[in-house]
Amino acid sequence: MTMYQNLRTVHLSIALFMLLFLLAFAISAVDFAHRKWLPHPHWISVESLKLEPGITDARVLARQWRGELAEVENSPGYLKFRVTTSLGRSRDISYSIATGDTQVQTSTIGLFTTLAWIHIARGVWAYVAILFSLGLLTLGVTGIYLWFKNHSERWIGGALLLAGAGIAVGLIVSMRLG
Amino acid sequence: MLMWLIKKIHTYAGLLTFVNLAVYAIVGLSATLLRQSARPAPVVSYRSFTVEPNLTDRQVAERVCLLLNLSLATPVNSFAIQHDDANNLFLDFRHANGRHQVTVLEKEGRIRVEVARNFFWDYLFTLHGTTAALHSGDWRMQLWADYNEFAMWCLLLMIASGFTMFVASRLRSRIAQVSLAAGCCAFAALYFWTR
Repeated sequence: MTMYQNLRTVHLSIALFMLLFLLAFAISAVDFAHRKWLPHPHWISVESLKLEPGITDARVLARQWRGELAEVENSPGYLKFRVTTSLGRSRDISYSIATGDTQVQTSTIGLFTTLAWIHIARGVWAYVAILFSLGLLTLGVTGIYLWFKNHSERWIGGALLLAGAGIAVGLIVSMRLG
Repeated sequence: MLMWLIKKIHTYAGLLTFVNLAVYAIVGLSATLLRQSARPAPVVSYRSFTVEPNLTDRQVAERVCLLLNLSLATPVNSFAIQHDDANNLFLDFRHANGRHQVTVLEKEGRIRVEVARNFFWDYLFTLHGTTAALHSGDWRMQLWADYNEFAMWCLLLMIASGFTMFVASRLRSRIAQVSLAAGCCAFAALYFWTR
């Protein structure tokens, strides 16, 4: 296979591997830019549990749920805390130290809010963001190569690349310099 | 003919917005790898500034912006206009290049300017999220916002056109099929694992 064919395969493979990730980032970008266009429903459910009484450390109790122990509130006789997952689902837990009676209020978010959480990249999604960024750079570089090898497109493509890069770099540098 | 057109759109959209896509990628790397970086120490200076009688606080803020060449902080947001404990006008300008905190010392005829300039990748972070919804008083920022909005839509267009080209011409490619399946499985696994 030639270099061109190899890079075309690399370009295609990376793009297809990243397809859902690309869609998640692109759709959430539209959502960030236009907050009212897409619906952001959320649902709350409440369940009651009976846990072992006498636990005074929220960290011990929080291990029962997957996610980050985000907030702890000390109120007399109760442990109240919140556990949040990387994709925004949160559980508000109220635990009676004396009886072990526990109420769990789970907030579940809709698809577009979940995509926004993917975009802001918490937890393991931070590594996804790094891989996504490297993939995006590779797509860009291989895309430029594939375009450049297509001789009939060089003039128009070159003009578009120069125009786009000229505007973008010009604005970035100009605004940074003040 | 249709595939020819789709290929052209895919190529031209990518070429026109190459720098924006590179900015997205750099921000993705820097926001995750450099998240904990310490901020540079702010620099404090004083400048002469006389407040004319009967100006509103907003008018004073706009004049300070003009004096300090802070067009990126315009139009002045209401939350930027505050007062300190001594009831001096305190202006907190946040903009793409960082933050200017200005105390207007009217009796002394000068302003105290505290400048916290952010890192270049913080600047790019702000730019990557700036789209047409923003209404800036600086024509360069407004142009960037509109261009970045265009780039965002171009990215979606490239995803759609690229997938269409794959379906039309490379659907039987084994490596392409494996890549797509692996990517979808990885996404689904991460999604259900972390939600």
